[in-house]
Amino acid sequence: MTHTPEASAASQSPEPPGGPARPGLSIGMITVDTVDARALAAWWAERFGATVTDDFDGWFCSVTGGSLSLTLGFQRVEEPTPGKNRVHLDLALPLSGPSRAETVAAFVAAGATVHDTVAMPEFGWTVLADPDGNLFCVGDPST
Amino acid sequence: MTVAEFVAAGATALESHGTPGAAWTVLADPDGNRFCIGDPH
Repeated sequence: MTHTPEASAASQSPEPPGGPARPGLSIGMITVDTVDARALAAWWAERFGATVTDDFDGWFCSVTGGSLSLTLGFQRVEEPTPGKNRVHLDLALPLSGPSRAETVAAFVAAGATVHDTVAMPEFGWTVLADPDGNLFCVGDPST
Repeated sequence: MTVAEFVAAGATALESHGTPGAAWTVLADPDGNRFCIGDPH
């Protein structure tokens, strides 16, 4: 990674990358289509120590709390969406805590499957699929 | 950014939904990925 003087100065600023937050359009939740919203919401809630906070008769389940930084939605649809999901979750590990290998093992024990493991010079991640087949990634902790 | 601005920027408005207490528009981005814009609540 190259550090320019400008980048170093910016890294000392309290502002987040991309500048300070401002009012406007934001992401309310990230929502996954599924034929069994209750089951998938419960599965993901358990992974984050979160809670299924809405149900709407199984048609729309939202998951909040725990270690989640935003709300996940699970919307019941009649047919599985074909093909590979085009939006995926990139999960982040804390700097101190379970390793990526331990976290991946816990996901697999809960019913996820490992699809790929990628190693870059300074960063690595594992691609997994949830019980519905939605791909997501677990990356190494990064500063 | 409103639905009209998204459409002007190349998104496609697909559906509008309303239920008691919530209303939203389903759009597609230029790649066809669907997303929703809900009313403030």
